[in-house]
Amino acid sequence: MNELVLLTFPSIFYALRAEKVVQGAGLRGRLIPVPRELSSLCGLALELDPAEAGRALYLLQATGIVPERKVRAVKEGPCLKNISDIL
Amino acid sequence: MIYLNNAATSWPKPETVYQAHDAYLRHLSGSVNRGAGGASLDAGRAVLETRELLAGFFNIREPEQVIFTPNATEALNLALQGLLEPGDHVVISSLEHNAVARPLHALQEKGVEYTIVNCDSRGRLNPGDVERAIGPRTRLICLTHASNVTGTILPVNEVGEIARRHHLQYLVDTAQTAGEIPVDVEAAGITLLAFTGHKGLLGPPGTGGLYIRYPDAIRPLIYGGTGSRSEHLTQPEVLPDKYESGTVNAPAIAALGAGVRFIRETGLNNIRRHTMELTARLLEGLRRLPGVTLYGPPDSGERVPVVSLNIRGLSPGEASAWLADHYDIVTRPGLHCAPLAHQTIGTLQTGTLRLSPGFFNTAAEIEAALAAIKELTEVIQGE
Repeated sequence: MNELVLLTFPSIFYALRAEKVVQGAGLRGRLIPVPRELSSLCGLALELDPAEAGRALYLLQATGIVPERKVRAVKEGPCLKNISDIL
Repeated sequence: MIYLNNAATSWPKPETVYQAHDAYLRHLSGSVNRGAGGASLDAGRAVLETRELLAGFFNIREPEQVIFTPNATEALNLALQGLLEPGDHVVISSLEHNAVARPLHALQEKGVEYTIVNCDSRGRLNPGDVERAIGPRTRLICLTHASNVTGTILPVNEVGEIARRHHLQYLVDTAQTAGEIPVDVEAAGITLLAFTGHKGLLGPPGTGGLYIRYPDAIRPLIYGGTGSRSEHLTQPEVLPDKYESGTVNAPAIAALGAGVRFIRETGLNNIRRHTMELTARLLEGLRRLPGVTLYGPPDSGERVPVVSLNIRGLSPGEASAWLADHYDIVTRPGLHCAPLAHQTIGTLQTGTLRLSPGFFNTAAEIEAALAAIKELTEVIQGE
């Protein structure tokens, strides 16, 4: 099963900053277009490894970068399934 | 060529600036915030990098409060037109550039008023005069950090303390100081800081920006596509998108980042020491020449590397042309877009000849310029 965590942000500026913070800490983080299932907005989402998501979120919080949405999902081909918000 | 027009635009640029501009223009075809492909993301990362570098450089806590504009003039217009409303009053110095004076003159039609606080004939400003000009409707103090005519450095920290005490917005124009002397928004209590990228910061033309501490108080100057919240017709409130509609000049901003990195690696103190030495040498040599009138403070420590002068019997335009034709020396004659400053020093009718050394000039070039001006004065006296 291809599980992932996705974060969306108020603007691309924050998405780029989040990527820099996460990668700067040696964690995996990849910017992708915001999937339609998450938002109608254009923009970028940060894809994280679920195993590293807790640490990544802690780092972002410490840097003052607040994601708009945090979700878990399963990737099936190009589609996202079983999307659930992380509280 | 001896280039002594760095106050207009710095030249040459550090090699890394040329390289960054070429590399980004050649390889980063993407447009920032417009797509999630590799090149778009890299362009976005480059702009983010420069934004963060500038925030660090000016001691700005939140990098998203650094807004890119094509130049300092647009940054100043964004601040003035975005902030001021009918009935507001502004205090400015008598050294302000037309980038401030013209927008304020135009805003008078909308009911904005302003008071010009006079500097002395060397361009020195008494902070007490600024405080005395504050009235019940004053909303903003706007001050150039240093004059582009006399080179005089204005007391931005002292005036910042006055702005803080009176709860006023404080706009500082650093066109002549960013990359020359330290600029610290926290120390000076600056709430709006305009900078240009192509002078002391050693970047390319077409780059500049505005630091906005209180974005709720500033309306955008330009509305349009930001690559975010595109389904809404209202302009996003989130920074920097609120003020950055349209495609940003990513290759030039990346190159500006290389300029700021160069300054950081070289050390602002080392840059300042070198340009101060060149300015002191220039002032000392010019003082010895009969028929030369110098403007601005006598001590190079009180000024940025900007030297204005007049030669008796010759217009600044004629002098500049002669230096270019006979010695390939680049200077700038005229009013330098700052009639208020010329009024202050008594040269509104004539203008001045301006020589502005930069970090890449050498003492030998200053000596060569002095020898050329000496010859010019002798030619004039012989006539």
